[in-house]
Amino acid sequence: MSILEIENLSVHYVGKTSTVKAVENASLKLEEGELLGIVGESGCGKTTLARSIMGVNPQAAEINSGQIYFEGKPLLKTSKKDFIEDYKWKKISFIPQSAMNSLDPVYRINDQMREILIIRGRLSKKDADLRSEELFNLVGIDTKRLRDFPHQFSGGMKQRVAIAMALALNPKIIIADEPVTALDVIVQRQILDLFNELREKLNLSIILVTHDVSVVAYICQKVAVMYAGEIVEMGSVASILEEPQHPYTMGLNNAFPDLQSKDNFLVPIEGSPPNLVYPPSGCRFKERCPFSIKKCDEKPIRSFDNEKEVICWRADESKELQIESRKVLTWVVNE
Amino acid sequence: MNSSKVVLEFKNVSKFYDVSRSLKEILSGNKPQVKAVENVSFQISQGESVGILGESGCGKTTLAKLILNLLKPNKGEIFFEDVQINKLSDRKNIVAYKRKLQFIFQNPYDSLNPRFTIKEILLEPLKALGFAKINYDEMISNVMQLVKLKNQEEYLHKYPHELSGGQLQRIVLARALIINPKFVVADEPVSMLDVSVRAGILNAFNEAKSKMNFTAIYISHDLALVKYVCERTIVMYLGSIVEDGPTDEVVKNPLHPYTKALVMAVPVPHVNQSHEPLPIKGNIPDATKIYKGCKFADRCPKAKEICFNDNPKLEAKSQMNHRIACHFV
Repeated sequence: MSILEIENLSVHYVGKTSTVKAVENASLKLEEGELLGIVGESGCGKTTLARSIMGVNPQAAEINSGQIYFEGKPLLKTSKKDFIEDYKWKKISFIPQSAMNSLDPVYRINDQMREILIIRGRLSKKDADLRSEELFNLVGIDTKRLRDFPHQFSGGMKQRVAIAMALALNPKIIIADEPVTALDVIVQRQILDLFNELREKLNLSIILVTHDVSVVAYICQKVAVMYAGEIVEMGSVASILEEPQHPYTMGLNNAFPDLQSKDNFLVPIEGSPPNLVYPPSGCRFKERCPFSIKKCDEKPIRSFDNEKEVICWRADESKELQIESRKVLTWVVNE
Repeated sequence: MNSSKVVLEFKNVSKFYDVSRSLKEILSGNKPQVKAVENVSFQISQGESVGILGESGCGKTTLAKLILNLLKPNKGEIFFEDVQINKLSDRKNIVAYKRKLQFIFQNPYDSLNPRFTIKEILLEPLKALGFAKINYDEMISNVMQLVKLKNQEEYLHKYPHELSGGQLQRIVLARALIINPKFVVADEPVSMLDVSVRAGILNAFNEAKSKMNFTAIYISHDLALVKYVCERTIVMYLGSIVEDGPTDEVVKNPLHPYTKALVMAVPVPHVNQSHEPLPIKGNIPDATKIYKGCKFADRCPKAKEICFNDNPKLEAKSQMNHRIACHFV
């Protein structure tokens, strides 16, 4: 059984005059000890999806349909109080976007650690301090620095502190939202290596939300590509990078600078994502898609093919489309 | 570097910032300084595109500000076309200098005036630098074509909030190119944008460069992007240049230990990639630290005694145009 399963989740932001359909029919499974990446552009709903698992969406967000299962138990049916008591920090913990700025600047780090350990973990002050030291050792920070204030740490160190906090009560799943985005490459690499090391050591399952395909390629086993609120393609990292079946994934692979390749010419995907207040009927990518056909006006059906799923009418022809997609002219819009 | 004319030259330029002092430091007369740029020398020739690469805090933005004459160096001289720019005093000469040089900012959302229409934004440099009024319309339509914004009329009367990030960055690019500059400094121009949009901006920049043949400095922390835009790369570490050479050489065959670590750390979109630990220790040290020897020595796996006592010079080791500051290359 998967440790976390999301089934047909739809999340809408309800406003006075309009409703933003931020996530539509998203389904995914996370196995134990697995590192799953969610990639997509800004506004594609990746953060909303990640936050829904933790139940920390803004008030305007409404879960419209679907269910989230943790080890088979439906999370959305538990009351908020029970969820906080039983799951938050203990089973699932969350590293928010720009975690470095989410530390309280006026409290020492050890006071902030105690807060979780004493209030949620019900440890005594002494045990909490011992556990804090243990956690600092785990993420590779000198325990002397526990009494420092957040401003005394560098960006990478703050990220480590945020990871230590997320691990405080031995969760099984960590959801990290853009954990390395604001970091320099060398620090980024160190943090990614830390995630991998922790995953092996503690048998953690990690969901990594990012916009950077290279980060996913470096560390993840499985990846879900999101576009305009939908998971358009999901599968192993190798299958997504080498045999993409959805045209958006193909375009994304073209738009990425690659340090090691010789002849990279970056090809942009023309246009911009649709307005999610009025998402287009049918395929949501059709307006930017060079391969769109008449049938794309109908909603495409999700197809499954051993461990790989894709939502595109022309997924069967993906081999031919891949060849086409590598040509620059394919992506040039004629007017 | 190559035989064509040198446009910009830095001669032993240093820029230090004072930092606030603790009581102890005030009493003992200590004056800690951040050495944002220290003893930097290089030449850039006409038509080159040079990437300045480094982590945050390495002084790359200070360097850009020095070129733009927004900061005065503490030591050293900066020449632009044989004129020492940090000595420019009268307004006429400063305007003449600014007519040749333009800047592209990092964040398109912050660098356009929200109360101006796109047309007003594009007219601003023309007015400020005293271009003849008759040419305005033609210059605007040329530059809009250059940055690939079709249906010009539609854009010109809009306000910045009505455009997407990618379109805004094209406007920023257009504003810089409208005066037909000889030299463009771009500070992380795509770091705020989405991947699928980035490629378009970079291509427009490259195309404009080959059409207008300006000299470009491209500041970034992303080696993959620098490689895409620039033929030459300067790598900085804590205010000093550690390596300077043709981009392909720097990427394929990095010689300085810091550059080696940097190249290794860049993730690539492939399944098979090295997961080897990086040949680098610790974190970037406090910027006010004073060094006798090589600044990288504390973190360098190869450091020997000489590294801690003697600061290596930036010298050509293998080829004429590939300079490295390291004792062991």
